[in-house]
Amino acid sequence: MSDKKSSISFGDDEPEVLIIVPENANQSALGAAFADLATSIANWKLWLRLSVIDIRNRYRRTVLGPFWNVLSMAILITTLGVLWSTIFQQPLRTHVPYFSAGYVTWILIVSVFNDHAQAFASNGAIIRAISMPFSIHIIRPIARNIMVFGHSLIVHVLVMLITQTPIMAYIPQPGELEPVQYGYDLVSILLFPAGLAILSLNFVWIGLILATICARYRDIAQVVVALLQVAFFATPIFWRRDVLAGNELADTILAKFNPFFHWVEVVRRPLLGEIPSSLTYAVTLGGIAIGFLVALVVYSRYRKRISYWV
Amino acid sequence: MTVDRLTVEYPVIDMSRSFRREIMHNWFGSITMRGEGAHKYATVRALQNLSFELNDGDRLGLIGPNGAGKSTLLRTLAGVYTPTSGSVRVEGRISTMFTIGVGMEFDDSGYDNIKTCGLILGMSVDEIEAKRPDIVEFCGLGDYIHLPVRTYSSGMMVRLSFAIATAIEPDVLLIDEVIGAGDARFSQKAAERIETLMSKASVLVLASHASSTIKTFCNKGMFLLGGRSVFVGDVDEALEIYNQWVRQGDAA
Repeated sequence: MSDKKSSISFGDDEPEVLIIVPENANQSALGAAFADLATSIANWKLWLRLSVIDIRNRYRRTVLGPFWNVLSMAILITTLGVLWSTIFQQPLRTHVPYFSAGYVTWILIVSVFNDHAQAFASNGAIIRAISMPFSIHIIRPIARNIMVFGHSLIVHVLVMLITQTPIMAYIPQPGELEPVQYGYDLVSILLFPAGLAILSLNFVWIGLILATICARYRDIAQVVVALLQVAFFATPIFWRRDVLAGNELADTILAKFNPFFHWVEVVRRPLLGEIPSSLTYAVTLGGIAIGFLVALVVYSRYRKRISYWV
Repeated sequence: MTVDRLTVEYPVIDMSRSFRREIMHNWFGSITMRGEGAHKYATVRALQNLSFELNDGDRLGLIGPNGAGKSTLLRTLAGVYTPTSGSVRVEGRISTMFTIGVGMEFDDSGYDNIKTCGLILGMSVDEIEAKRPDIVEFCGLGDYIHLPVRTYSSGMMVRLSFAIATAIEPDVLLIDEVIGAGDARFSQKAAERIETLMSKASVLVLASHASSTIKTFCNKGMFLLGGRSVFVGDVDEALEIYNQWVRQGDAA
């Protein structure tokens, strides 16, 4: 091969590749990944500020601000809640709260997943410019979407107030008024923040895996979007799990083995003053334990390459 | 800061498949095909076997044509890129200024961005609050500091970024090209600030094509070509060799 060298000499030519692998390469990579995550979580002032900025930017120069979200959610839940309770012939008084609790939780899950699929890819500029823990880009969307969720929750509270208190008696409707179904006690009120925390921890490990894979294979982000759309219809959110009663197979696939169902349940049940099933806790807590192990292995293995991929 | 036999090779995803397995020698980093069959991919060896050492007070200017590996070297020093082989040891707090406006929220005022960028660069809230007046004063933007950053010119953004990046009093300051966007008065002010920083024992690495920028800020020079260091040493000598190389290209 002819060697077209420039006329200035380069100095000594060196061996093809010289790869120096530290003896405990795996160990240190895992340690680095763990440190990355720990530093991010500890730097809560940063991700909290960035999330607030995100929300502020989204609604900048609008009159209603984040209450646009509340308003659109309120219209959607009222319309669809009434529609579906009619289609499924469910009492309004129980089905609308059931739908609103499930739907606000679902929107939280969907937005976090969609944001995570883009987490590293869309932060390429900052990843390549400043050496900071990448997991900040995982935690930031979680914090941001939980703030949005907090706003959406207003709608659910209103729904509960309207349907579960005597106000309902003033709304004209055919037939007898069914008795109030949902009521809160201390346990369910305490289980709500616990459920939200469990869900958030699940988001962290899923996000680490999802963002890493999506940084390398951009098609996966599109797959995620498509899958989530299907998952909404395949998960008991606007319909009740009861309709599956009698069909063991469908119940197993759509509820028991459906992680989305358990992620929704762990927050939805306490929102309705109920206690999630032990299976739900087993899946969500077990998911955290196993998920973090898998995530740390994946993340530690590919973390170094992320800056080349974005 | 010690750099020992540093080689950085990065994978190119999405390249066209028309590359043949060959190594191109020119003043860009060499492109190499790695892997076999379906797993074949191109890599750019942006830095080859680079070794140097910088001590407190050293201000290194990186010069070289486009694609010589200046930015890759800076990013590797910053810890963004991981060496393929060799090692980089950097001691102390690192501050970087690579791209204009990175980490800034364009709809927020410059004043608010001081806090955001400060946090991103690793400052604590107390530290930021303590240094804010100084940052505002240094960047000399007057009332513009309270306007959204999107209204700034690139020179104004450089002023703000530089003020923040140096306010953290880094042990190692890494700057790419961008500083050239500041005007002459700012350059002078910036050079003074770097002088002060250096007296407190820090290291500066700056990449630029502009000889004048290098001369203003640096006392050492490194001429990079094709990812290799052609010359490291006194800044004037390095510039001399670089200019010689440029003239040589003109003649050819």
